[in-house]
Amino acid sequence: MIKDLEKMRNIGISAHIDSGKTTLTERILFFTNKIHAIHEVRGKDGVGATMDSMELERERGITISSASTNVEWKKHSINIIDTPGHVDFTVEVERSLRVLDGAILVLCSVGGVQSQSITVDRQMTRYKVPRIAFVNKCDRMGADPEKVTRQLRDKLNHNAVLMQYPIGLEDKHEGVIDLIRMKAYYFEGHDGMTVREAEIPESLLEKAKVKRDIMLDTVSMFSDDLMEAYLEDRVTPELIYPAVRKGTLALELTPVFLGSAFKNKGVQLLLDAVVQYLPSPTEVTNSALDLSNNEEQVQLTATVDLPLVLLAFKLDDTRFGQLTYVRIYQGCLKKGDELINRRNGRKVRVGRLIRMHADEMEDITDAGPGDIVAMFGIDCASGDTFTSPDVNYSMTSMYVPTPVISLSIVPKDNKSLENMSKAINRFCKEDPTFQSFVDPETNDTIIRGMGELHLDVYIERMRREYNVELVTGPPQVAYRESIMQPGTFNYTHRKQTGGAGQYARVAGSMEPCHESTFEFVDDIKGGVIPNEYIPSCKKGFEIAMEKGPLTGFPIVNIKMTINDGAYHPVDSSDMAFQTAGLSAFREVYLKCKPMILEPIMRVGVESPSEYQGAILGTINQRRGIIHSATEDGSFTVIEAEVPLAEMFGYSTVLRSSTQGKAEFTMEFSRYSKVPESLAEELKKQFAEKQKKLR
Amino acid sequence: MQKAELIKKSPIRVLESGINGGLGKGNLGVFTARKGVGKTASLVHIATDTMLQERKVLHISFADDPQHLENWYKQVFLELAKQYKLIDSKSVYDALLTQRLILHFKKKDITFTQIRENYKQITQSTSFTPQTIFVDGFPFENAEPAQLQEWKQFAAEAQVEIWFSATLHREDLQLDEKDVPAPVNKFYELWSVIIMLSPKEDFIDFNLLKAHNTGKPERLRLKLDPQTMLIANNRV
Repeated sequence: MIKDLEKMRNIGISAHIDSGKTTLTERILFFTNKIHAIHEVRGKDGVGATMDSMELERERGITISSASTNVEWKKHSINIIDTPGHVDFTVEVERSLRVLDGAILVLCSVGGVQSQSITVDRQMTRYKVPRIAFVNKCDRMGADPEKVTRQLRDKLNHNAVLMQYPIGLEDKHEGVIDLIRMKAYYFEGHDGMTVREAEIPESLLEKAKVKRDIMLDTVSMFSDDLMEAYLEDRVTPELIYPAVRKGTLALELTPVFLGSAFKNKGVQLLLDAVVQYLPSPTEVTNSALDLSNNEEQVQLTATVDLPLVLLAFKLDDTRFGQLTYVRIYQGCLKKGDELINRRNGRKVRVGRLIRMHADEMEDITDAGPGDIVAMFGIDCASGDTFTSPDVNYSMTSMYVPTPVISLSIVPKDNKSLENMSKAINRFCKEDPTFQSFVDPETNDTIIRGMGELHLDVYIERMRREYNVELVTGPPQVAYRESIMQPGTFNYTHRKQTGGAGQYARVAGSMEPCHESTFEFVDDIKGGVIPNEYIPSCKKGFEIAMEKGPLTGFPIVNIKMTINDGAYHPVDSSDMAFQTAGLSAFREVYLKCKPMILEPIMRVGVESPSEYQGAILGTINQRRGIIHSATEDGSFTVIEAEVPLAEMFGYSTVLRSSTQGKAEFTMEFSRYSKVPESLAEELKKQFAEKQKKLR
Repeated sequence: MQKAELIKKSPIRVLESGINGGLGKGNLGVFTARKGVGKTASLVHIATDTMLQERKVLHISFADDPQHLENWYKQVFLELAKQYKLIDSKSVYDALLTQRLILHFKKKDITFTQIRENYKQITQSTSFTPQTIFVDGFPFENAEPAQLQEWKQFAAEAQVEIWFSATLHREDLQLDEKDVPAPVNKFYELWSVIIMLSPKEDFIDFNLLKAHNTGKPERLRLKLDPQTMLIANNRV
């Protein structure tokens, strides 16, 4: 079932938690006949919205995992990828953005643009995703779509323009006026199924004319024909649509639509806009890296007869096995096809091919370029590229941030242990920022991630989905060690205790190196250390770097140069040189003024200006550096850098000191040296831990 | 080069000696030029020099957003570190970050009372007390001397020196009898130092128009290098 490319849309619905994204998705599914009854996100019937397929998401009223679903609207096939809205799930958001061609940015007409929207929007700009905006919740107290449109311009730097004007707001919100057709639209009948077109009410006509002029002023910049017609006062809707589309696709215009998903208003017109203004897969350029040609960038073209290239962007464990969501970039995917996973070179055969609708699925035999479908029984990780055997492409590797926080988890019984490893195995595959390992000293399982909430959600999922009973330890910051000054070493390893002896000598220097974690320079002249033992020296250094002597955390930013040494024809071995490297490292390290580094987070706090002082105080108490404060009318945005160790429980503190009116976002920024007093404390803690283990 | 040596060799020392040792607490100074000539670059270089000397800097912007300015600061520092081969530049930079705060006002109609209130909140709730304030994008075109008088009074009370940047909007340069351009001349008495940046063929000249009340100032042997956007000695 290969679809007409021109009539295909891959869109995301992206927004801040609580702006009504899931409700909107639910309504879209309802109006496109994909579901037959409407459930509310926090519904009393206990069914929950269809896209939120996980129980936990239902309870919290938020969407964590992205699921893709296919709907039909006016002969167009729309794939909707539901994207998470919280910054802790960055990798998942970004991977979803990768496969989108366009997006609906949902904003609450009361709350407007908030700091979360800023993060998501920044990511969309990075991935060049054209978007249209939907100002939701126009039925709420304090609804002000014009304010939100202004915020889109001021805060997100969008060239946002209202394409509609509300017929009443708050509890009087009845419908919208389309400023292009200059008609009023009401949503009537059961669940707002019937869209009734009518003349604009007399009382709103003047206002609508003014707004139409503002819209035309902005839109006519994108079309000479429209500009001419506008000046000569003979504008037709047919002239406006292509101009809006052109501006939207170039990311130079953001048309704004209005309504209330909850009250079933404006959703059908929004769907019209998706079809009208967002791009089809042919209008978006995608590129891959040619692995056989030095990772040269190659353009992909959405046509059927080219070699197949697809990206696995989401995995899901179902009772039938692993379900892999893929986006096809070029070529045609058929049941029974043989594909190659370009990450590991493994061949896979496409068994069941399906099209997803939230929790229900439809079996298909083939799918064409641009489409988003799912495959069953393919063993792979999220982010893998599959191609047909004749090309060796990989979709650009995505930037994966390093986890900065960890905690230990201990299952309560054997059954839990088994389920826990199943769960962790799956989460690690799905989300590269979630990692796990066993601490060899304490034998505890440690999980690592991007923030407190990130790990909390996975722990909750283990409890609910996998029935794991577990005890968690306190969150641990991922410290690092490094050196402040260079030093030289000359170390001889000699052992003569019966049997074969061991002999190796290595000499050289250790220096700080800010560009990479570890750099190794072989400056050996005249074979004083034979070539075969050079990797052994390097290996020795690497082993030493795994665990710093001050805190037990890894050592980073070190450049090791070896320039002299000696060997013995009988007693030297790989092992001897590894030991020499390791010991030399440990010896010189302590002479190079070792220091402890901690992760510093970039924190953004947004709140009404009256709380500025209180917020600055909370940051100051946390060893934070305030970078800037931006005052925008009655709102202030504070940007700061704060050590992660000081950020535990910050949301509670912020809430209580601002009556819940402030919000914050947090991203990893860099590693920085910890102050002396804290360094001493950390060293002491580590020494005590070591003592206990002995 | 060590940090101390970099400070010693900085062309900002030439500027200081040209204006009787510096701007001085309680005083206002201004860099004026047409758009895009290098006012912000000059301010950021002087600010970076101040920060290197472990003195705190508040940068108030009515125009550029903080991210844009942070980038400026970073570029200027990287260029300085490169030019002077600064040792351990990463640690120096990390330390610099604690010396600077950017305050950005998006709304042009903000009153001085609001700005003062902001300043009070920052200094009271954090340990940040600036010695020098840099003001970028102040709308001089529509401002009255009484408004700048408020800043002058504030500089005296808070014991800070304040550097402004002022844009010459008009294409044709209007100089008064003291060779001072509009709109800066409207506030002549309030300025302790006036420097005009004048683009020459391959550099931007620092034209010192007022240096405290010492009569006609001597020529400043300084320029802005358009390659690096740093202040440099001008030996021509």
